[in-house]
Amino acid sequence: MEKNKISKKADSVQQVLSSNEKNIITLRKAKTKELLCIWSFLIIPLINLCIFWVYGTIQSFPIAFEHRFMDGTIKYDFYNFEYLIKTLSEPGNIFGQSILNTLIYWLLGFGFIMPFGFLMAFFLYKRIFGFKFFRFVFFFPSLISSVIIAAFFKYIFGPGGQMPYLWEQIFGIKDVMFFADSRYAFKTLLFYNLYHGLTGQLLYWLAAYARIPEEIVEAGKIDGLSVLKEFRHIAFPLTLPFFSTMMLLNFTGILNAGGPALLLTGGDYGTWDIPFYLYKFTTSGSLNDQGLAGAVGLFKGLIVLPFALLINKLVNRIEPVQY
Amino acid sequence: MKRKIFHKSKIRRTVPEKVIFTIVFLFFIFHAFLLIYPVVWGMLSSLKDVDGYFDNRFGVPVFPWKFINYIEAVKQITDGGMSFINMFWNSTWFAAGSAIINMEFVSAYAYVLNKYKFRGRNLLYGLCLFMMAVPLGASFVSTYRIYHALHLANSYAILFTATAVYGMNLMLFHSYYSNISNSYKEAAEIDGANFYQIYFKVMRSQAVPLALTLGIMQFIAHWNDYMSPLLYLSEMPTLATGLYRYQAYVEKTSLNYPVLFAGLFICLLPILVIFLIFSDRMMANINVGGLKG
Repeated sequence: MEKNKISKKADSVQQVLSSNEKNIITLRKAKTKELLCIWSFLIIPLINLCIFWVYGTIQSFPIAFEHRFMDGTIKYDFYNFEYLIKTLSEPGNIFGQSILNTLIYWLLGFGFIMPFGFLMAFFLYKRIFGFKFFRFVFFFPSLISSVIIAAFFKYIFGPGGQMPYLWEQIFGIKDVMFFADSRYAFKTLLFYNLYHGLTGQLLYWLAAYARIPEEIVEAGKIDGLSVLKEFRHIAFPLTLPFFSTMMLLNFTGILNAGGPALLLTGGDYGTWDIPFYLYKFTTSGSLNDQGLAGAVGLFKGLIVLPFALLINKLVNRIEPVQY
Repeated sequence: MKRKIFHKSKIRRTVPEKVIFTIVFLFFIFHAFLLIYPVVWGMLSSLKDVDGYFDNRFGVPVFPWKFINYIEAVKQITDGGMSFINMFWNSTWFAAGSAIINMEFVSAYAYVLNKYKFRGRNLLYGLCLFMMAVPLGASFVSTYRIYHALHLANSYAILFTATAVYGMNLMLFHSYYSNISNSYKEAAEIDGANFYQIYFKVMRSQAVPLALTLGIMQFIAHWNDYMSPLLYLSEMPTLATGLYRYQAYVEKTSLNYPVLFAGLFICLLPILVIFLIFSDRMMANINVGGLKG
């Protein structure tokens, strides 16, 4: 009797266990199925990442040290770096010129275009008369291809264009060659960057201002804050975290800054910059040139990396504003 | 609901404020003129004949305006054996294909990272942040060689590169999905929907406004891009690269500048139409999540 009871109990326990096991197996199957579904969404982007980011980054190192000989043999040494350093001391070398011009482009963007664009956006946010029209027109350069803008710019500044005529009327200097004279060419490209880029980040700045709660602005108005004081005491402090994040992130692009040398001057008359250098040496058709471009790319990465890590730390320290 | 872009309080300005606003207004007018003038000048020049262009470079074209230049542009502008229509098609598939593929993959990627817990999820999201903050990555030459080694260059297969999801768009989609309640997903699960039905029929449809805004911006960026096609689609030139190379040809031969300008305007037309249709959406949706502060 006692034995029967025990065996019945054991059977029911066995049944519960086996149904639990079945449940677990079903659950596991469902989980595995879900996991497969999840990875079906992830796999292609991850393959892309492995090819272009992981393999591409690894591959960048041997390319930078590639030294090809006439007989087709390849040696991995510091030839490219030695060559670049050697040319730096030569007057008028394009590598030094590229670094210098890139730093000037970056300085213009970081020191003037960004803060000035931020200020311009404030007046749009404050609904200056005609703000909808200005918003549309200022966004225009972001819409139009650089090929088109640069083409019009080129013919207006080029021989027989409006700018040489204006220059002659104002300064009395005849037939100024804005793109074909080393006294003017780089300055003209800087002007182009200023002209084209001043409102390039307008949408981001407007979005940052749009996040300021209206109640705070209204409270400031009741307290008698003028528009300038509103900018100083409300708008600027509240958008500072975003603004400073953008400024700091701009540091990471320090050696990526460039102008429209390809579109306007072809690099002539002292207008080389790092992106143009990389483009030219990569597509020249010579594998030796590609080695040099690889060395410049690696040099660029190594210079910017510690900067980027430091800046990342600084950005993480910026506290989001609590409204 | 339309998002607030401009502060809409009643505007009563003091005298010093009026002075400042007037100065800024005048500067805005000047800058707007500088931006509009080249485009208007280019448009007027596209309506001149060749002699009219050289004799009267600053002025308005004399009547009759040469609208025929636009037809001539379509007929004459070629690059590497590719006709204008071919280049237009290349621009279309490159820009639209890249934008659609990228949006689909970014949205799906952000969705699973946000709504499912699985091993490696945090690593994948951390990697996204790392890649945005640290400018490591393949060098220009390395990428160039990979494109050619995989035969992605000069082929429709180049659209595979649009499956790269890491960057600002992923952050925006991630933030967007985190604002969509999980109860939609759970309700669909109770109703017996499978993983793909939940995503495609329930969740993805809610992210369409963001996908449309970012997709339009991507389309514009790819349509205008001349550097990537110059490097990787040299035998399948897009309008931007074709016009760039045709411009060099015109400069060497001093041929028909008005036709070149007409070609530039045809290239601009689709973007202008898209912008005029979607400008409010683009302006409004840019502040969807993602801004620190």
